[in-house]
Amino acid sequence: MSTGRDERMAELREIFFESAQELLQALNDEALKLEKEPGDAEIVRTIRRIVHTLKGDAAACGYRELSELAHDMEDVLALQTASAHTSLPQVAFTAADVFGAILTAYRRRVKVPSTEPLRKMIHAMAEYAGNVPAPKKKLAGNKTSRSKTPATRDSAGNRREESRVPARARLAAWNEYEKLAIQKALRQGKKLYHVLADIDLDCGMPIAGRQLVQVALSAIGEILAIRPEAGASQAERLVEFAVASDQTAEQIAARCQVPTVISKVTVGLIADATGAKDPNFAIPHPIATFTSESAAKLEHSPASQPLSESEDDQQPTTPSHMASLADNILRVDAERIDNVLNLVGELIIGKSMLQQTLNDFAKRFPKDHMRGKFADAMALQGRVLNDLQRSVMKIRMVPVEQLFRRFPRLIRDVGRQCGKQVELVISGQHTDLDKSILDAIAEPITHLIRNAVSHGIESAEERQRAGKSPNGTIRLQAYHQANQVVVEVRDDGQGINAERVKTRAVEQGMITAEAAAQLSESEILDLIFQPGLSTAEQITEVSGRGVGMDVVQSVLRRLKGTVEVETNPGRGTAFRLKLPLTLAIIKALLFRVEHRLYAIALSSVAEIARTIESEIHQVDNREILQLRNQVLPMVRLGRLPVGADHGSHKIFVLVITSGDKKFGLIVDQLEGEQELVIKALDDHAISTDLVSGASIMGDGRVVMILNLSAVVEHFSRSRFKSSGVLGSGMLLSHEERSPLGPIDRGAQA
Amino acid sequence: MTRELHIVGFKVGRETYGVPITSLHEIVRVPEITAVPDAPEYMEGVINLRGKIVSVIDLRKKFGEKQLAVNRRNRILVVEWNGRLSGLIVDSASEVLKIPAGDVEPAPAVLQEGGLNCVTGLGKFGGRLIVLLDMNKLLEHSAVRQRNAAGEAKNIGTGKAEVRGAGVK
Repeated sequence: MSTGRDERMAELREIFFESAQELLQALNDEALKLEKEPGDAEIVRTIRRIVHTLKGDAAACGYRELSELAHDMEDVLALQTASAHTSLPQVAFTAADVFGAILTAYRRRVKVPSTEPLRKMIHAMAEYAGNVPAPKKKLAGNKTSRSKTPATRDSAGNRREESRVPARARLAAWNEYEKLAIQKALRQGKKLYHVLADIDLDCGMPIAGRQLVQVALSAIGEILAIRPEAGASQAERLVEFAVASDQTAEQIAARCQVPTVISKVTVGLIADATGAKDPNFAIPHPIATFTSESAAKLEHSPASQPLSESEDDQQPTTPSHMASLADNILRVDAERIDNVLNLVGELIIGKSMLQQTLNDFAKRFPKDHMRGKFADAMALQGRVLNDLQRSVMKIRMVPVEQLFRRFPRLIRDVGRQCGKQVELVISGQHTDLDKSILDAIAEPITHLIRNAVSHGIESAEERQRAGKSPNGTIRLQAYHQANQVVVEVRDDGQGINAERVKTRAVEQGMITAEAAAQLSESEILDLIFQPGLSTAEQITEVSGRGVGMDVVQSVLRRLKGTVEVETNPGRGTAFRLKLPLTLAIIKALLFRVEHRLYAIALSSVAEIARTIESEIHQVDNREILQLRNQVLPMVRLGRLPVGADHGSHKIFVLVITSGDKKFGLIVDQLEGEQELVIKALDDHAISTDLVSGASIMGDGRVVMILNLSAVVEHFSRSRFKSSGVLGSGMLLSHEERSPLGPIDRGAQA
Repeated sequence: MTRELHIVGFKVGRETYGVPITSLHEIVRVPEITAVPDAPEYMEGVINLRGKIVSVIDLRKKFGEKQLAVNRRNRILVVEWNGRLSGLIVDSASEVLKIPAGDVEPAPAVLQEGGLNCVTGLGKFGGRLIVLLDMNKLLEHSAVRQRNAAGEAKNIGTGKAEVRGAGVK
């Protein structure tokens, strides 16, 4: 019994955390807006509504500190002076941070952090209001108007008073918004019900009970009003709802039966569509009082009273908010979707097993008439499976906006720290990306943006001297390119000085001056991703960029993506993160090296060429191949051929693109292409970064999926090795390498 | 009533080792093993265990056995460690031994001093001596060593980077 309740409570909390996160984001957004247009009463009202919703939700989940703090904040925002107060945006930012910290603390079940800074700010604002006499009166008026509508207040004193009031009497006090909503619903032909839920106060979470009923009701109809209002920080025994629904009273009552929490539910019909035609609809019981009052009140619609209006329109936010959650958006734990995806993966393996069997069957009984039937069934299954896979993948896709939304605030904060005015231009925020990828790139992008603001963009004076607008601009862009999603962070700052990077790298002993002289510009820029360089502090002062750039690259590598830099001295820098659409399934090209099977992502293969060994030349200890009019550096994955006639040995060359570089991979044999379900390797036992995962083939064989960026990097690193042919034998095992390696080289020489 | 330990006995080289039956997931024949590039020497590769990819280390190499006879009695002990399955190749594994708790002697101090302190005791069974192992410690040890090895390899790599510059000169 209690576990059931706990489960429901846990579920409720999950919903709360999700929605609270959105509210905080909205709070940040609004605060940013307010900063641009100080004193805009509409924005202040929106902020207040957000805080109010947060308060209500927090109270429903029993998070007292948060709800109280939000309550104080809301009260201060209600003051008329609030919107005029210049520090309001700052208060809102602080509030968002403090609320966020509290939420994290709740989530991790640790002690709630200090809320003192926010409290001080709130007090300061309240005092500021106190010094101005006129609004004080307003406040008083507001308070009395509130206590006139019982059960809207959540301070302890008021509630006790209300508890004595018979439950039904409360419904007399619909506010204007609710009345409008009720009338609208009636016009739409819905029936209006009065639901009275009796919550068992002995149950562990009485406040949650009310939320449960609310969620249940919003699933079958529209909740128009709730009494007592959301936000009560203590349990109420009786909760009333006004619900518009097309279902019958019995159905609604059945829906609200939550065992162990709700002891009794009464549902009464208040009005239906026929009654709505008559503005003074004659309804059995409490509505009668409400209608007459509503007609009277509606006439002096409170446009002239901004305070009471905001009081009114904030109330529906909680129900409608929860309703929208329940209506057509399904919030699902990502883990569950991953489970489905895993199963789809198993199915795909199963499909290739079947395909294999079918092929064998076809070979053995080429004339059997069952063959065609099998093939048809296979084709159908394949099609359905493709659709299934695509649909599941789509569930995991989320717009990058989810991530991009955080950055306006970040830019504002960092810009402030550095004393720079920076604008953020976002585009392509509706591009979809796998959720896990999106989560993973949050840190790198944050880092790039921070760097762009603090190092890339010059001070206002410097910019003016260079003939640029004093405000810097950072463009954050997402778009599709082939089978990838590109996220670009571009600033219009000073750019990266490649010469300085080079000098610095040489000074630090990362490369020798001679080696440095040979590097192309893009190779020099790649040096900024080296961990050694990034920790050097001077370089970040001199040319910007550096701290933690290796982190950016390592994240991208883990995601099987790449990062590119493009810089234009004096004009700015762009970082392009190229990401795969999804992590779980790839189209792969299978090939053999030394009789072992490997796979690489098909998207990175630009071309497949056939050639013979003698076409491959050695220049400067490196193997190259002239393919039409381009010269490709070769990466030899296996070992060099031995023997007299090796020159005529046939080989395949996979031309791959990694970042902006092109390479040729020498492989022994091609095996074809196939969709592979990527399975993670045990990273405790397998420490190499050459493979990014493995997959199981239809016949049960395990195939290693190569991590191209790591292969290329190993290859580039091997450039400086002193002897032998470079970059060869990357995939050889220890045994193969140790006794045979030197012999090979000898044979070659 | 004397308590009996249920021990799975397996052979590596000439010695018989034993692990508590509860610490094993299963014992399978050696299937096709897919090599992993750039892996440490005793890391044989990975196998497909009914749709799961399981990394396999060769216990014989780990225990320093020189002669690696490949025959049909070779088995892979699959153990669960750190939430993941790992496989250990042994020469053979067939018997479940019931050893009375009284017949188990604590491991000699010499064995505990070494780096490989995964010996929990010595069991006597029908005149044979069985070295009882703690699987977790064994795997933990190899993981730590591997990580160190990887770290060293990286250091060596960067070291080379500097040296090779000089070489170019």
